[in-house]
Amino acid sequence: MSSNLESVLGRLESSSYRLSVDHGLIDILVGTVLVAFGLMLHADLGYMPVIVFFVGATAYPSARRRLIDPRIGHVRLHADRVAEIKAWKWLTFGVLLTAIFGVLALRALGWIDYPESAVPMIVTGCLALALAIAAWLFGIWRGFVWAAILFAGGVIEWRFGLANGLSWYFSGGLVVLAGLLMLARFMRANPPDAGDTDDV
Amino acid sequence: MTSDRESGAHPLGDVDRLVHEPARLLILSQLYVIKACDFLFMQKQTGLTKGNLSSHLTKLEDAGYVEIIKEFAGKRPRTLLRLTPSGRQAFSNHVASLREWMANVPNQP
Repeated sequence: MSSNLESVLGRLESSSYRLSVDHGLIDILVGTVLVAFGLMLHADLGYMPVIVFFVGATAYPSARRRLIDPRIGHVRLHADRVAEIKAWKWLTFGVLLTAIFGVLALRALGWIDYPESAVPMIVTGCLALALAIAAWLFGIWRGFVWAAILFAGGVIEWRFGLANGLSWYFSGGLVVLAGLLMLARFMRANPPDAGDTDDV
Repeated sequence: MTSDRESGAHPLGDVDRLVHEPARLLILSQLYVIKACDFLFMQKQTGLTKGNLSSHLTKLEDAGYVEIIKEFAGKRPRTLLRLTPSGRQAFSNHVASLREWMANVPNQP
Protein backbone atom coordinates (compact mmCIF):
# COMPACT_ATOMS: atom_id res chain seq x y z
CA MET A 1 0.00 0.00 0.00
CA SER A 2 2.67 2.53 1.01
CA SER A 3 4.88 1.77 -1.96
CA ASN A 4 1.83 1.91 -4.24
CA LEU A 5 0.88 5.26 -2.79
CA GLU A 6 4.42 6.65 -3.11
CA SER A 7 4.39 5.43 -6.69
CA VAL A 8 1.02 7.09 -7.42
CA LEU A 9 2.22 10.39 -5.92
CA GLY A 10 5.54 10.04 -7.75
CA ARG A 11 3.69 9.49 -11.03
CA LEU A 12 1.50 12.53 -10.39
CA GLU A 13 4.55 14.69 -9.75
CA SER A 14 6.31 13.27 -12.76
CA SER A 15 3.28 13.82 -15.02
CA SER A 16 3.03 17.43 -13.79
CA TYR A 17 6.68 17.93 -14.69
CA ARG A 18 6.38 16.12 -18.04
CA LEU A 19 3.30 18.11 -19.06
CA SER A 20 5.38 21.24 -18.55
CA VAL A 21 8.33 20.07 -20.74
CA ASP A 22 6.85 17.85 -23.48
CA HIS A 23 5.75 20.52 -25.93
CA GLY A 24 8.67 20.90 -28.35
CA LEU A 25 9.78 24.42 -27.38
CA ILE A 26 12.88 23.05 -25.62
CA ASP A 27 13.81 21.06 -28.73
CA ILE A 28 13.44 24.15 -30.92
CA LEU A 29 15.72 26.07 -28.55
CA VAL A 30 18.35 23.29 -28.40
CA GLY A 31 18.24 22.82 -32.18
CA THR A 32 18.67 26.55 -32.78
CA VAL A 33 21.68 26.62 -30.46
CA LEU A 34 23.20 23.69 -32.41
CA VAL A 35 22.67 25.52 -35.72
CA ALA A 36 24.30 28.58 -34.14
CA PHE A 37 27.33 26.43 -33.23
CA GLY A 38 27.36 25.32 -36.87
CA LEU A 39 27.46 28.96 -37.96
CA MET A 40 30.31 29.57 -35.54
CA LEU A 41 32.37 26.70 -36.93
CA HIS A 42 31.40 26.95 -40.61
CA ALA A 43 30.95 30.67 -41.20
CA ASP A 44 33.37 31.68 -38.44
CA LEU A 45 30.67 33.65 -36.60
CA GLY A 46 32.01 33.12 -33.08
CA TYR A 47 29.45 35.40 -31.46
CA MET A 48 26.46 33.51 -32.90
CA PRO A 49 25.95 30.91 -30.11
CA VAL A 50 26.13 33.67 -27.46
CA ILE A 51 23.50 35.75 -29.31
CA VAL A 52 21.24 32.73 -29.85
CA PHE A 53 21.65 31.65 -26.24
CA PHE A 54 20.62 35.04 -24.86
CA VAL A 55 17.83 35.61 -27.40
CA GLY A 56 16.59 32.06 -26.71
CA ALA A 57 16.73 32.52 -22.94
CA THR A 58 14.60 35.66 -23.32
CA ALA A 59 12.24 34.32 -25.99
CA TYR A 60 11.60 30.93 -24.34
CA PRO A 61 9.60 32.19 -21.31
CA SER A 62 7.64 34.54 -23.53
CA ALA A 63 6.84 31.77 -26.06
CA ARG A 64 5.86 29.53 -23.18
CA ARG A 65 3.50 32.15 -21.79
CA ARG A 66 1.87 32.73 -25.17
CA LEU A 67 1.75 29.19 -26.59
CA ILE A 68 1.90 26.68 -23.75
CA ASP A 69 0.26 28.19 -20.64
CA PRO A 70 -3.07 29.05 -22.36
CA ARG A 71 -3.28 25.39 -23.40
CA ILE A 72 -2.22 23.38 -20.38
CA GLY A 73 -2.20 25.95 -17.63
CA HIS A 74 0.52 26.94 -15.27
CA VAL A 75 2.30 24.84 -12.64
CA ARG A 76 4.86 25.72 -10.00
CA LEU A 77 6.92 22.79 -8.80
CA HIS A 78 8.10 22.38 -5.21
CA ALA A 79 11.15 24.42 -4.21
CA ASP A 80 13.33 21.31 -3.78
CA ARG A 81 12.41 20.13 -7.29
CA VAL A 82 13.21 23.59 -8.71
CA ALA A 83 16.55 23.58 -6.84
CA GLU A 84 17.26 20.09 -8.20
CA ILE A 85 16.58 21.25 -11.77
CA LYS A 86 18.85 24.28 -11.28
CA ALA A 87 21.61 22.01 -9.94
CA TRP A 88 21.22 19.72 -12.96
CA LYS A 89 21.61 22.68 -15.33
CA TRP A 90 24.86 23.71 -13.64
CA LEU A 91 26.07 20.11 -13.59
CA THR A 92 25.44 19.75 -17.34
CA PHE A 93 27.20 23.05 -18.04
CA GLY A 94 30.08 22.00 -15.78
CA VAL A 95 30.45 18.64 -17.53
CA LEU A 96 30.48 20.39 -20.92
CA LEU A 97 33.17 22.90 -19.95
CA THR A 98 35.27 20.33 -18.07
CA ALA A 99 35.11 17.90 -21.00
CA ILE A 100 36.07 20.49 -23.63
CA PHE A 101 38.81 22.21 -21.66
CA GLY A 102 39.98 18.90 -20.17
CA VAL A 103 40.53 17.30 -23.57
CA LEU A 104 42.22 20.44 -24.94
CA ALA A 105 44.38 20.84 -21.83
CA LEU A 106 45.48 17.17 -21.87
CA ARG A 107 46.68 17.68 -25.44
CA ALA A 108 48.49 20.90 -24.53
CA LEU A 109 50.21 19.05 -21.68
CA GLY A 110 51.24 16.32 -24.09
CA TRP A 111 49.37 13.60 -22.20
CA ILE A 112 47.22 12.70 -25.18
CA ASP A 113 47.65 13.40 -28.87
CA TYR A 114 45.22 13.92 -31.70
CA PRO A 115 45.39 15.84 -34.98
CA GLU A 116 44.23 19.46 -35.14
CA SER A 117 41.50 18.38 -37.59
CA ALA A 118 39.90 16.26 -34.86
CA VAL A 119 39.26 19.23 -32.55
CA PRO A 120 35.76 20.07 -33.95
CA MET A 121 34.80 16.40 -33.65
CA ILE A 122 36.02 16.32 -30.04
CA VAL A 123 34.07 19.49 -29.20
CA THR A 124 31.02 17.89 -30.86
CA GLY A 125 31.56 14.76 -28.75
CA CYS A 126 31.75 16.83 -25.56
CA LEU A 127 28.51 18.64 -26.39
CA ALA A 128 26.84 15.34 -27.28
CA LEU A 129 27.97 14.00 -23.89
CA ALA A 130 26.53 17.06 -22.11
CA LEU A 131 23.29 16.69 -24.08
CA ALA A 132 23.04 13.01 -23.11
CA ILE A 133 23.68 13.82 -19.44
CA ALA A 134 21.02 16.55 -19.56
CA ALA A 135 18.59 14.09 -21.20
CA TRP A 136 19.23 11.59 -18.41
CA LEU A 137 18.97 14.11 -15.57
CA PHE A 138 15.81 15.79 -16.87
CA GLY A 139 14.22 12.51 -18.00
CA ILE A 140 13.79 13.85 -21.56
CA TRP A 141 14.71 10.62 -23.33
CA ARG A 142 14.62 11.98 -26.88
CA GLY A 143 17.71 14.01 -25.85
CA PHE A 144 19.73 10.75 -26.17
CA VAL A 145 18.71 10.56 -29.84
CA TRP A 146 19.74 14.20 -30.38
CA ALA A 147 23.09 13.48 -28.69
CA ALA A 148 23.65 10.35 -30.81
CA ILE A 149 22.79 12.20 -34.06
CA LEU A 150 25.08 15.10 -33.11
CA PHE A 151 27.97 12.77 -32.28
CA ALA A 152 27.47 10.60 -35.38
CA GLY A 153 27.37 13.77 -37.52
CA GLY A 154 30.61 14.98 -35.92
CA VAL A 155 32.36 11.66 -36.61
CA ILE A 156 31.13 11.56 -40.24
CA GLU A 157 32.17 15.18 -40.80
CA TRP A 158 35.67 14.47 -39.47
CA ARG A 159 36.06 11.04 -41.12
CA PHE A 160 35.07 12.29 -44.59
CA GLY A 161 36.78 15.66 -44.26
CA LEU A 162 33.57 17.66 -44.67
CA ALA A 163 33.52 21.38 -43.90
CA ASN A 164 33.39 22.12 -40.17
CA GLY A 165 29.93 22.86 -38.89
CA LEU A 166 27.94 20.97 -41.53
CA SER A 167 26.99 18.21 -39.09
CA TRP A 168 25.80 20.88 -36.62
CA TYR A 169 23.50 22.38 -39.26
CA PHE A 170 22.17 18.92 -40.00
CA SER A 171 21.62 17.78 -36.41
CA GLY A 172 20.40 21.22 -35.26
CA GLY A 173 17.98 21.41 -38.18
CA LEU A 174 16.71 17.93 -37.38
CA VAL A 175 16.13 18.82 -33.72
CA VAL A 176 14.34 22.07 -34.67
CA LEU A 177 12.16 20.15 -37.14
CA ALA A 178 11.29 17.52 -34.53
CA GLY A 179 10.54 20.31 -32.05
CA LEU A 180 8.24 22.05 -34.54
CA LEU A 181 6.38 18.80 -35.24
CA MET A 182 6.06 18.13 -31.51
CA LEU A 183 4.80 21.68 -30.92
CA ALA A 184 2.25 21.35 -33.75
CA ARG A 185 1.02 18.05 -32.30
CA PHE A 186 0.90 19.55 -28.81
CA MET A 187 -1.09 22.56 -30.03
CA ARG A 188 -3.53 20.33 -31.90
CA ALA A 189 -4.01 18.08 -28.89
CA ASN A 190 -4.39 21.00 -26.48
CA PRO A 191 -6.51 23.79 -27.96
CA PRO A 192 -6.38 27.04 -26.01
CA ASP A 193 -8.83 27.32 -23.16
CA ALA A 194 -11.83 29.16 -24.61
CA GLY A 195 -13.28 30.49 -21.41
CA ASP A 196 -12.01 32.68 -18.67
CA THR A 197 -9.67 30.85 -16.31
CA ASP A 198 -11.13 32.81 -13.43
CA ASP A 199 -13.54 30.04 -12.51
CA VAL A 200 -13.74 29.62 -8.76
CA MET B 1 -4.76 -0.92 26.14
CA THR B 2 -7.59 -2.23 23.97
CA SER B 3 -7.35 -2.61 20.22
CA ASP B 4 -9.71 -0.73 17.90
CA ARG B 5 -11.58 -3.94 17.21
CA GLU B 6 -12.01 -4.66 20.92
CA SER B 7 -13.13 -1.10 21.61
CA GLY B 8 -15.53 -1.25 18.66
CA ALA B 9 -13.97 1.72 16.86
CA HIS B 10 -13.44 1.16 13.15
CA PRO B 11 -10.08 2.42 11.83
CA LEU B 12 -11.93 4.23 9.03
CA GLY B 13 -14.51 5.66 11.43
CA ASP B 14 -12.75 8.96 11.82
CA VAL B 15 -11.77 9.34 8.17
CA ASP B 16 -12.16 12.89 6.85
CA ARG B 17 -15.01 12.50 4.38
CA LEU B 18 -14.22 15.80 2.77
CA VAL B 19 -10.83 14.41 1.76
CA HIS B 20 -12.03 10.87 1.07
CA GLU B 21 -14.30 11.80 -1.88
CA PRO B 22 -12.43 10.58 -5.03
CA ALA B 23 -12.43 13.86 -6.99
CA ARG B 24 -11.30 15.87 -3.97
CA LEU B 25 -8.70 13.24 -3.11
CA LEU B 26 -7.36 13.58 -6.65
CA ILE B 27 -7.23 17.38 -6.33
CA LEU B 28 -5.45 17.18 -2.97
CA SER B 29 -3.01 14.52 -4.25
CA GLN B 30 -2.15 16.75 -7.20
CA LEU B 31 -1.63 19.81 -5.01
CA TYR B 32 0.39 17.74 -2.52
CA VAL B 33 3.11 16.98 -5.09
CA ILE B 34 3.52 20.52 -6.48
CA LYS B 35 3.83 24.01 -5.04
CA ALA B 36 0.87 25.53 -6.88
CA CYS B 37 -0.98 25.39 -10.17
CA ASP B 38 -3.73 27.25 -11.94
CA PHE B 39 -7.29 26.13 -12.56
CA LEU B 40 -6.62 25.03 -16.15
CA PHE B 41 -3.65 22.84 -15.18
CA MET B 42 -5.72 21.19 -12.45
CA GLN B 43 -8.53 20.60 -14.93
CA LYS B 44 -6.10 18.95 -17.39
CA GLN B 45 -4.55 16.77 -14.70
CA THR B 46 -7.77 15.62 -13.07
CA GLY B 47 -10.00 15.44 -16.15
CA LEU B 48 -12.83 17.10 -14.20
CA THR B 49 -15.23 19.52 -15.86
CA LYS B 50 -15.01 23.20 -14.96
CA GLY B 51 -18.20 23.16 -12.93
CA ASN B 52 -17.31 20.00 -11.07
CA LEU B 53 -13.79 21.16 -10.30
CA SER B 54 -15.03 24.56 -9.22
CA SER B 55 -17.57 23.04 -6.84
CA HIS B 56 -14.99 20.71 -5.22
CA LEU B 57 -12.48 23.54 -4.90
CA THR B 58 -15.05 25.71 -3.17
CA LYS B 59 -15.68 22.94 -0.61
CA LEU B 60 -11.95 22.49 -0.05
CA GLU B 61 -11.48 26.25 0.28
CA ASP B 62 -14.33 26.51 2.78
CA ALA B 63 -12.68 23.78 4.85
CA GLY B 64 -9.41 25.73 4.76
CA TYR B 65 -7.59 22.97 2.87
CA VAL B 66 -6.97 24.85 -0.35
CA GLU B 67 -6.01 28.46 -0.90
CA ILE B 68 -7.40 30.09 -4.04
CA ILE B 69 -5.44 33.11 -5.18
CA LYS B 70 -6.62 35.43 -7.93
CA GLU B 71 -3.81 37.02 -9.88
CA PHE B 72 -2.95 38.34 -13.31
CA ALA B 73 -0.49 36.72 -15.70
CA GLY B 74 0.11 39.64 -18.04
CA LYS B 75 -3.43 40.71 -18.94
CA ARG B 76 -5.03 37.32 -18.32
CA PRO B 77 -6.67 36.57 -14.99
CA ARG B 78 -5.32 33.45 -13.35
CA THR B 79 -6.75 31.40 -10.50
CA LEU B 80 -3.87 29.87 -8.59
CA LEU B 81 -4.50 26.90 -6.32
CA ARG B 82 -2.32 25.95 -3.39
CA LEU B 83 -2.58 23.46 -0.54
CA THR B 84 -2.71 25.15 2.87
CA PRO B 85 -0.73 23.68 5.80
CA SER B 86 -3.98 22.28 7.25
CA GLY B 87 -4.84 20.78 3.84
CA ARG B 88 -1.41 19.15 3.73
CA GLN B 89 -1.96 17.83 7.24
CA ALA B 90 -5.46 16.55 6.39
CA PHE B 91 -4.12 14.73 3.33
CA SER B 92 -1.26 13.19 5.34
CA ASN B 93 -3.68 12.10 8.08
CA HIS B 94 -5.98 10.54 5.51
CA VAL B 95 -3.11 8.63 3.92
CA ALA B 96 -2.01 7.46 7.38
CA SER B 97 -5.56 6.23 8.14
CA LEU B 98 -5.72 4.31 4.87
CA ARG B 99 -2.31 2.78 5.51
CA GLU B 100 -3.33 1.69 8.98
CA TRP B 101 -6.54 0.22 7.65
CA MET B 102 -4.78 -1.59 4.81
CA ALA B 103 -2.16 -2.98 7.18
CA ASN B 104 -4.95 -4.83 9.00
CA VAL B 105 -6.52 -6.28 5.87
CA PRO B 106 -5.54 -9.95 5.49
CA ASN B 107 -3.69 -10.84 2.28
CA GLN B 108 -5.75 -13.98 1.66
CA PRO B 109 -9.57 -13.95 1.42
